[in-house]
Amino acid sequence: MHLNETDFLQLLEKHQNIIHKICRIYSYDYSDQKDLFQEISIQLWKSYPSFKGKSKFTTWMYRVGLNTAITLYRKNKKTIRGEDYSKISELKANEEYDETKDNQIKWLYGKIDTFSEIEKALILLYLEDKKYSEIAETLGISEVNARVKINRLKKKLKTMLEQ
Amino acid sequence: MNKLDALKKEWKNQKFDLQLSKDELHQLTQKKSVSSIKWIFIFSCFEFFAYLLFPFFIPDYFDAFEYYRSIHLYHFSILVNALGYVILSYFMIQFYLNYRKIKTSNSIAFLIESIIASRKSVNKYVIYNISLFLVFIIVVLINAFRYDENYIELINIGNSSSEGSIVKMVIAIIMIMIIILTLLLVFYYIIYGRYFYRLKKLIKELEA
Repeated sequence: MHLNETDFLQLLEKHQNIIHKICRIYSYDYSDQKDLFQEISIQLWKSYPSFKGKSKFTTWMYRVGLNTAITLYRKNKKTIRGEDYSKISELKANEEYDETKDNQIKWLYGKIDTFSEIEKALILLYLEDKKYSEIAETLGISEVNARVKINRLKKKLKTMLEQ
Repeated sequence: MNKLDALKKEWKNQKFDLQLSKDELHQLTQKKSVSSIKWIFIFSCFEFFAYLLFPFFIPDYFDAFEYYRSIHLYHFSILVNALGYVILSYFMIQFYLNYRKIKTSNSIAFLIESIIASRKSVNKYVIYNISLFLVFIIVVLINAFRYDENYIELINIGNSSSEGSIVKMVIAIIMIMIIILTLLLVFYYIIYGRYFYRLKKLIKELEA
């Protein structure tokens, strides 16, 4: 292991929850989560030489992770073991809001599951408390556009919470 | 604290049971990628080389030049072949330059646009190549009917009988071309259609 690689692995170990969150948002089952986790780790390592420390390591991680989940990683989500995926996500999304901690998170993932790929990226960055400028830069859109999109999503989520 | 803030707080505090060690992460990074970009690159290279090697798999391809000479198309056939290689080199370079821009550390929009741009140079290449091929076939056929005795004979038969064998032959050639083009389109749709449709939809959503 090179020194460079040691640094990288240390940072990856420390911030691995970012990948766990991306995987849980963009996967439809546990085995898919594991595969996506592996692909994101590979892409991070491949892309590491071009990481020059201009942005924070975590900012760079969100970018590579989201890019991998949205554009590079392709799996047929239509059928999982013979079941219709859209039906499963519908069931998950119809769960009622429960105040207990674990259920809150479960409920949230269920709702996020009904969002589009781009909305998923936006909600993740919003929940992670990222600045509008960082969200805009990660998605490659203007800051105004990012602000509009996030506000729209916040409204959507609020309505879901009140239902 | 409103419900949304409470939810945000819970989100930040969430724990994941599975925590990988440095060694486990190291093992993961050494595995083989299943990225679609890798496959697009392999398929694109395959396309370029398939067209490049195409002549070598056609029997009598090189003898055909003698035939082109007999119908006064020798220089034209050499020119078309040379032009084919110029087009190939140009698009291969363009594809490679665009491909190099594909980096996962870019923004989502930029990454999607560079994937689309890189693929577009392969598509343009295929379109130019097929157009060149069609023009070549048409010119060869026109000259064949002017200089090749077998073809001239066909015209004479066509004139003397009401069957219109030339019309039949032209229809047959057009049909074969349509079938080949349809097969190519189906092939491209199966390989890239759905993926690129998705990418374009993502870009639209980002811009909206």
